[in-house]
Amino acid sequence: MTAPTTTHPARTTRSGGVRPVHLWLGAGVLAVGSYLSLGVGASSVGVVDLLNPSPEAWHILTTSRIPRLIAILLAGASLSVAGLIMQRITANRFVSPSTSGTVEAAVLGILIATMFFGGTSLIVKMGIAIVTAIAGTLIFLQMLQRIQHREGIVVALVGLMYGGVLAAITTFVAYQRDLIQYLDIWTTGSFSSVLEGRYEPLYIVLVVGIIGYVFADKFTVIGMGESFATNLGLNYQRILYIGLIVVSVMAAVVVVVVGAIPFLGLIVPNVVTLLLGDNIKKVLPLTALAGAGFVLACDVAGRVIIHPYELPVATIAGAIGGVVFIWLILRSAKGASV
Amino acid sequence: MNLRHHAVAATALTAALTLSACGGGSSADDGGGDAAAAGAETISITDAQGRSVDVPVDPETVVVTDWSVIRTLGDLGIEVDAAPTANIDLPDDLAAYVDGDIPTVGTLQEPDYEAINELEPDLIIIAGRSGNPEILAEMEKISPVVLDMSVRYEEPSGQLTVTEERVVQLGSIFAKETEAQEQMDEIMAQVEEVGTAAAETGDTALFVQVSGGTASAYGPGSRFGIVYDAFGYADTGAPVDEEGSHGQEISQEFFTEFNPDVLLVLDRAAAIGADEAPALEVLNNDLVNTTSAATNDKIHVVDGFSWYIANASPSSLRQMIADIEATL
Repeated sequence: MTAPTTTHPARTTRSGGVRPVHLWLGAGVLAVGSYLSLGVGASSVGVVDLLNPSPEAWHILTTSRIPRLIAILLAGASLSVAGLIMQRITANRFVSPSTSGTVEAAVLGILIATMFFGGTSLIVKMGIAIVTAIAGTLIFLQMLQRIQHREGIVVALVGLMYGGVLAAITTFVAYQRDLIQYLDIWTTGSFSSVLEGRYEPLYIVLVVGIIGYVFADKFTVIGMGESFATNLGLNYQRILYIGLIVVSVMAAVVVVVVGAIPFLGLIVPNVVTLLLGDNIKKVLPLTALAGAGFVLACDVAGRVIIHPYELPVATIAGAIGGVVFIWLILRSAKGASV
Repeated sequence: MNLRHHAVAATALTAALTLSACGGGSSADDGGGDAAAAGAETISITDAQGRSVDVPVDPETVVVTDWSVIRTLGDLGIEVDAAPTANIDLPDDLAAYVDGDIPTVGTLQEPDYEAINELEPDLIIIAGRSGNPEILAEMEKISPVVLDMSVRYEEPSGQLTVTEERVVQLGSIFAKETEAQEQMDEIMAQVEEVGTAAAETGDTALFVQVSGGTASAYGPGSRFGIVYDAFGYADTGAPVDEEGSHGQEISQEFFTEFNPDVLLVLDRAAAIGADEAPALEVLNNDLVNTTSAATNDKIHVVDGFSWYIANASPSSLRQMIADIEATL
């Protein structure tokens, strides 16, 4: 596994692959976008004030804007990377945390935590959500292995239906306990409540992100099947579980702290690989950058459209993501590479 | 549209006649119930859906699906025979409905029609979250007399006048019209008094709802517009939100920008009985703590039941007045 270029999946790509210039360009654009985003918010601290901030402006920046920016970047990057990893493990472009029941399972976990450990710390909630997310994703992977036609949209459909079943269970339980209106908050990602001291658990995704990067190529290999991976001397089950845990932790942590952001894990890795090829180890950092940039753009739009009020990031990401999702499906239906 | 209403009423009437014919034997056994069944004394009520309904005075079995109506009747000394499931914390004056001795008939949004049918009610009152034509149509299959006593108003100024009208109407059904009117007169005078006092402070107020860590603001045109309209506080100058009922999501920066002198907080988790982070904990942060409201100790959590669940009854209005007085 020392030469990643040899592990290219059997797919045709139109691109010439990732070059360092792409990475620098992506990082540069994200840095400029991040800087500009610090000048957007309900209070009147604007981009110009950033150059020479007054004490009040500095206070706004450190307690609200900078934590929010970090949360956006971490959430966007991690959900996109989680999607990329899932797509490699399952060798299917339409699999992501939001099309495999992972997010729905995490929401069910939050509901359980709220019912039985109401008002407890974020960490307890997160722990339970991670456990249910892992269990939920595991069940999805088990189902996948029993599906005859593992191509494209069929798998996505199964995942969406499975997620629907989990969501229905969650809704039923929430209905019984009169918690229905809370589901909205958990399933609608929003950064409006992010403040210094209220988002720090998100840093967990950095740690699991690094683990994901280290194992990146192996995820591609196990996606090609158990016998193929075993022939290459890999422990199929172990790599599968590592991938499963990385993806579930990322999805659960983001859902607990900011809520679900629809389609993100599906469309960002797809668009990035369409443009820049399939080599996961090279594409992963760019997927992280692109995911962060996409969520940043959606959140800034949410802060600007009805300023000084806010639209949740999930609303905007859902609208844009849905359109891109349909485009991806139409594209694959036309016989392009899936 | 009117024609359709007539058609519905006609169907209901036919159904009612059939029903009372069938149930004739049992109502005779009840003894006291025959006045209602025979329609000896009725009063005409125009309800929230514009229907004119002949209601028996002091009906025997009364089912209500809304807490404002139940609380109003409680204020007049009347206990109803069935109420919605109380998975919210009920105030002390509604203690009778807590322990489960009084039958429950579904949730605020979704009545349990079968349970209501079993009670053979002489009067069903829907309102608020259940006050819509669909539920009305279902209820008319069950009882000959159904009223929608919702308090609906276009402008915030309508809240008090429509509430007064409904309270007096409810009083008149139980021959307590005068008492209802007296209570409302007293409340109107108190609102006037508190409103003048608040206006004299010149303070700005912001009404926010906190739910699961997310804050939403309500402006002068919203469902909590009464804060500005009747209770006299000035608004913070934030752009008026068009969305009336659910508020607009805001970031904590919003508080520093519009710097309210008084912050009225609806803790939605507490209002719907959910166990979540308390609203004041969510608002205890470096941004909110720089506002005038925080420095002058004028952040007040209002009574969720009175403001959010049942805002159209005398007791709720008294509580709302008390909440505003607490910020003066």
